[in-house]
Amino acid sequence: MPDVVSDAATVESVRRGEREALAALFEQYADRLYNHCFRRLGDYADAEDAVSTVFLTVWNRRQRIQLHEGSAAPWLFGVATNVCRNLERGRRRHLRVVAKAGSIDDGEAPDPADGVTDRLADEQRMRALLDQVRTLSRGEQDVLALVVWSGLSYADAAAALDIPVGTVRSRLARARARLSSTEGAGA
Amino acid sequence: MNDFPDLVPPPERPLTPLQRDRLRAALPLQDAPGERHWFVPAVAAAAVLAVVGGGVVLSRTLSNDEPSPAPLTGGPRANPIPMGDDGTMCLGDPSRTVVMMESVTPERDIVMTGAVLRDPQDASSSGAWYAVQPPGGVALGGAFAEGVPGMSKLEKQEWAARKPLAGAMLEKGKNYTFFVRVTVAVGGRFNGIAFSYSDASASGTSVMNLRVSGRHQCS
Repeated sequence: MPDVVSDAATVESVRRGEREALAALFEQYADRLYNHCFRRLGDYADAEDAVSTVFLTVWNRRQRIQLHEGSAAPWLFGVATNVCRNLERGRRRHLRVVAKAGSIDDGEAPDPADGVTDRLADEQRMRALLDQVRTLSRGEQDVLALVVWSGLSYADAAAALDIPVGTVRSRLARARARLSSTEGAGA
Repeated sequence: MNDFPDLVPPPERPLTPLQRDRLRAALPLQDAPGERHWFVPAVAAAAVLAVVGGGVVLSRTLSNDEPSPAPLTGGPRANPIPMGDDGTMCLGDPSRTVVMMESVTPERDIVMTGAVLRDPQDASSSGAWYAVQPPGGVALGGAFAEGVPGMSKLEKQEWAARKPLAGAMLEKGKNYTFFVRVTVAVGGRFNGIAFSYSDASASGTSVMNLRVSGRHQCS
């Protein structure tokens, strides 16, 4: 778990416009946000784009960063949730272009540390999971991703989404029920 | 906690060193109040330069460009293609040739007549294009290296479907992205890009207020 004291100090420095503090916040949360975004988007490259956008947003809105019990994590995850939603919308039309033009990422140089095969397998698996959860409402998907996949507490997820904790619980319960019934219907 | 046993995602992965370098390089470097400092990294050569203007992330609210210079002909009219606010950018080795992007939504029908660098010193442009964006598309701005990692960000702005800017007829309310390829030598600079347009009654320019300089190292 992040050190709440250093989060408060770091955020205060970011608010004052100290870019080193933004870099510190990046070092602390980039990996978690990257994995969260991957689990929303099913694509590592898009997750990287999303993380970049999250930190640009953090900087541009630094006066509005909120701490929840001393942690910036809920606010950052809330921003990431919105960013991923927007990227997903943008990607839908991007995919249409791909379909027309064949592969459009031919110019991308592979990252030697990528473990390309493993990542492709992970992406396929994640997309299959995302197909399953698309039967849920957007709000239920948000809660499931934050609590079940990214390990936020109910309280932190509530802060991230700016909803009451009770709503987090009820959305999760509805998600569970809906997925169970889908499973039952498919069996 | 996982009472969703059928929904176990792949294990978490850390960012690779290259990804981390790219993302670090794309962090905004704020030099002074009101300035965005954009940086094209020396190694990855692919800064992400999303412009967020107080609206929804990645979907910029376009407003309040600097007043357009007086129209060249006809009476004064509002700038039909307002652009983003001020910013600075450093281009470092080896990526001092980049494609600058700007998203616009014309407020009336216009014909684009060209794009030139303002006050260029050891800086030049080698092409200006535009592409139509679908309704609801994501507006991105910034600078991206061509043909290297990060190219996908250009592709997402319909780079592959670009057409020459000069002579382009832009329709009111549609979303467009302008692309201008620029090269800046070490020690060189320019103070934005002026996009010229005309319509039935007037001509004028709209300025992308981005001050760009070239250096060996930008940090």
